[in-house]
Amino acid sequence: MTTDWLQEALFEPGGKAAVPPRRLWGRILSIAEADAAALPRLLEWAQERVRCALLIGVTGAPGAGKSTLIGKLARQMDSSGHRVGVLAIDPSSDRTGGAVLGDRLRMEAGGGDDIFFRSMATRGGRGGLARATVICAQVLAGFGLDRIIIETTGTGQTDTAIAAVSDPVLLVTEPGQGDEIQAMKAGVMERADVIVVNKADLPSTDHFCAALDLAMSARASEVPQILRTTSTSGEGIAELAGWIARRPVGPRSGFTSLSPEAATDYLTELFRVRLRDGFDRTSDDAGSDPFDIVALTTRIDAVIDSRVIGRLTDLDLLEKEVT
Amino acid sequence: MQPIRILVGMFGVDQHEVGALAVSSALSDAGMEVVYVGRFQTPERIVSTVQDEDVDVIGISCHSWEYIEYTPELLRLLAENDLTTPVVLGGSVITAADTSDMIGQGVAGVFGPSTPMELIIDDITALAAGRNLRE
Repeated sequence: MTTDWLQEALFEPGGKAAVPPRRLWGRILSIAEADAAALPRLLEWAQERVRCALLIGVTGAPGAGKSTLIGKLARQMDSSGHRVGVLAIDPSSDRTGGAVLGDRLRMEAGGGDDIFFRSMATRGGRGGLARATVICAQVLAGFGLDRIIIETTGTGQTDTAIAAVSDPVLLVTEPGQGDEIQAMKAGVMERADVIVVNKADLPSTDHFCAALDLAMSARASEVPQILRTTSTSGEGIAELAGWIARRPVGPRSGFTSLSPEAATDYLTELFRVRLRDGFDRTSDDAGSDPFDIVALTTRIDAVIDSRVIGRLTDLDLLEKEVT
Repeated sequence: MQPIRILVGMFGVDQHEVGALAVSSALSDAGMEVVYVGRFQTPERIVSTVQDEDVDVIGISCHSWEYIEYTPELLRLLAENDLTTPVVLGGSVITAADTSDMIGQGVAGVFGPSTPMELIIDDITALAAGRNLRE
């Protein structure tokens, strides 16, 4: 039933992939989130539709101002002609499965509101992402959005999954978060492309940035850019948007120009989502094999270097052992 | 079984947020995903949120009279956009007369003061299931 509906929404009568009306986007994301059986069709559609989109990952400790920053950044990009989508992730309770998704609160109303905004619960996803984040981002890119902002749950240290699926990665922090910074050092800190020092109107900002600069310069790897913002007033948002726009498109950007290394990360995530769906399905799904990775692989094969796929075939065994 | 998704918010300048927050956390404890949109909502904003978030039920907390003006407009806009998402109201100021008026206009449920939480959860669960059946 869902698949008929999806077929009609995504493909023209002749079988050509089409962009569904905006009012259906939310429903289609729900299918991507919930219905593993629909994934091959969604991927088939996305493969034809997706050109290039920037996936902007935003992470950082709770309270640092991620949501407010994203609200301002999305509006800035929207007003400079981009088509913007936001996927805001909050944790599901592992006790009840429920969640309070509050990231919309920080998105100010007003204007034409072309910005697509979807709150997602993690539903068992790890590393600060929801299980279906990758699929949903790809679907949004298929709708023609060219700036997709992914907000992680914000648990800091463990939010490293975002680095595998987005480029650039923004780490949002605030003056006075010294201890948290230390804690994050070995995690997402080393995967960030830019460190956004938010609430830069606080008097301790200069001191904090100097300390951050020193800590960063001691590192052997690539030093991330440090930018200051004050989300509440909008100070520094234009500069941040400008930095993102001027930045050379990296290997993790877009879906059609993945490097083998980035493709590995991306596919790992994709396979993981598919596998987790498979594990969760019950035996009443007779007739379809939830572990039919081969069918999925065949579809992605056309866009990804087949050597990468070859390296990934052991993953399902690995996942089985782990889970 | 996917979690039920419900929007919770307040119309206009209704500032009373404690009830909505308490109900939201109880619904979350019951395994639902609550898209909490809070205060200052208009029917237009709610309809656009319902589309992006694909919620199963819309829950409006009413502790000021504004719902009497805004609710019919919300129902009209939902119909205009081919949305069958059920609307429930809850709050202290909803009189018996207004309850039957709202139900008459197409509101799916009204929860007055002292409604047991179990009843709210059961009704929302049934409404969400009904929506899925209709599709």
